[in-house]
Amino acid sequence: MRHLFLSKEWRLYVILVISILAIGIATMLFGKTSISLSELLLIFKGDEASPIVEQIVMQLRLPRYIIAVLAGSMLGLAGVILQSITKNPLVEPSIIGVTSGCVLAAILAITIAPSFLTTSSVLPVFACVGGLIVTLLVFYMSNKAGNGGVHIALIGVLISSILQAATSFILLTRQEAMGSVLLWIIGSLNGRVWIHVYIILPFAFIGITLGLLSASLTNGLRLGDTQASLLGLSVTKTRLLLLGLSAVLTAGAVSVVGAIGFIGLIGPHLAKRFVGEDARKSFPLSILISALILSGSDFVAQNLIVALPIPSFNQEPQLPAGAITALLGAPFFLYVLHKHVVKRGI
Amino acid sequence: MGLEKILTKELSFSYGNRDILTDINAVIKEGEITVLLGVNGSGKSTLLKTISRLLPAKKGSIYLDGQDITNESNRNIAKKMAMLSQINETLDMTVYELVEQGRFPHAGALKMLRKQDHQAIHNALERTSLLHLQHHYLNELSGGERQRAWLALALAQETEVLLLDEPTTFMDVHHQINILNLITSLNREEGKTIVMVLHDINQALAYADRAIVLKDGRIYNSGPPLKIITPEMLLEVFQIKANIITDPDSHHTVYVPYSVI
Ligand SMILES: Nc1ncnc2c1ncn2[C@@H]1O[C@H](COP(=O)(O)OP(=O)(O)OP(=O)(O)O)[C@@H](O)[C@H]1O
Ligand SMILES: [Mg+2]
Repeated sequence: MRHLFLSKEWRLYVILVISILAIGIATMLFGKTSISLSELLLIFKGDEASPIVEQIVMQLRLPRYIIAVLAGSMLGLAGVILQSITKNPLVEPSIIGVTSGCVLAAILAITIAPSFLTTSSVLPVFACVGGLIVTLLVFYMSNKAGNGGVHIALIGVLISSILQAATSFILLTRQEAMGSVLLWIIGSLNGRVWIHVYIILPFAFIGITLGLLSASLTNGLRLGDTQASLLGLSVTKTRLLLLGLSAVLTAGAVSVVGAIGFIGLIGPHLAKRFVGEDARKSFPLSILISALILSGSDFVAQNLIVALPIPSFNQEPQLPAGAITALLGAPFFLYVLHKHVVKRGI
Repeated sequence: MGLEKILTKELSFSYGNRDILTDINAVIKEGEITVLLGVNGSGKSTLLKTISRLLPAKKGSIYLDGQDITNESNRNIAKKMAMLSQINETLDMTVYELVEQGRFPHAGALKMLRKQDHQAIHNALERTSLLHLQHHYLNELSGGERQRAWLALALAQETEVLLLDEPTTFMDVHHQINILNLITSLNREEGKTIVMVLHDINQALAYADRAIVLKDGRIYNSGPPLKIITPEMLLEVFQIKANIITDPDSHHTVYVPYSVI
């Protein structure tokens, strides 16, 4: 009988999509201003609603939710791709240096032209270019070092630390930019509006489409280099393609929402726990789980502050979503590390 | 029969400046089982890897069906030749997922598996008696079962040529004979051309249509096994003293080693 219904992964997909939509509805309804379901329906029917309510939903909450879903999906896909090619479940997208590249580029841009702080649509473009340049550098260096799959993580970590040191140095000398940049380093969806949707959308569309299409290539790589080439897969090219893809996905997401951590670690790990290592299943599942986690974290971040007003937080009256994911992610990371170490018997 | 399926002309290979294969002129006839013999390190695996183009020839060329494939794309080769490597990693995947990859050269990178692909996978699993283990993870299998899973991957490729590097290692005698009979039936019933490395001289005598003996990266001799597996060859190549005996009742020929020099 069970076979007449959906297979295991399709049931998971359906449950996740429904949950993501439910978070969407909750995001529209709750927040500093509560909106009733009937008001929300009025807006989506295109009927007359109070302008202020329409403003809140259409100009603030909706774009913000869309960005949370897209950025979560992108980080989740980037994470699962990188974990597959490095064969390391502890790898997350920031490992290839793209995140610290984004951050440094953004801060340099702010330092050179402080007006960028206010014209926030230009900043993501700078961040993205910076992230991709750093990724290229990491590729280049790890290719010189030999086996791209293994060394890439080491070189990425190394370059990231150097860039982070540079970032800290600039921040120390430019105290006035500290506040908003810090928020960006933690990762936040505060103040994200339609312009940011338009920035992230092409990255999301191209990256996710190509990522899903490359699932069978990733499966081929799982056989190891020898067998993969025997089956006609050009191993180096494929690995480079996948690395490039995860860099584009990460840069697109990080440049808009900042360096939100751990999403690209938790999503893929949970996905593989449900469906195993087969990329054709773990890729879409990781996308959906990560989208749910980020949109859920942002919902919690927005509403937690209403329930618990923190006095000293009056300047930025919202908790950044990155703080929530870090709160969830750090213990999770330790758990995965522990499990991994126990499994390997180290 | 009798057509030349694979030819190598003056084929040489070296790691750095250490020559591993020198001027190999090998003839693999269509529809035959060819067995490669030689001591450890004589270049048997290297020859298979060079023919399958896993390793680039340093000199000389390789012909498949009369066409020079020395510079042909990997994907096109993978549709015509499948290879079972001597050493295979233990991977974190199920038997089915592994065997499924054999369809990669046919299905293309982005295409879904079609009906004939599923059929090929099923056949490969069935012939290697792995249907009951198809959803098990490779690291839950015994060495011999894992070896059969990798063989099933090669079978799923549905190629005319199979290159098998020690297909019977890790197997008990029962499964060794099973696999050799399977290989024979693939050869006799489906006309597959088979090149395999065996260490058991008696199995070579029993199963080969033709044998190629390698010594220090060169062809020492080649021909029908009964002609070239002789006490002299065993002495010169393997440094053993042995007699070749034919059982009067079954007419099976075996070699009986009695001392090492
Ligand atoms: N990656 C490598 N780098 C350098 N030398 C190698 C490499 N692989 C194999 N060799 C050398 O090439 C020679 C031939 O090796 P090959 O694996 O072809 O031998 P073989 O006949 O298959 O032996 P066996 O019966 O042990 O499998 C050996 O002397 C080996 O030391
Ligand atoms: Mg060998």
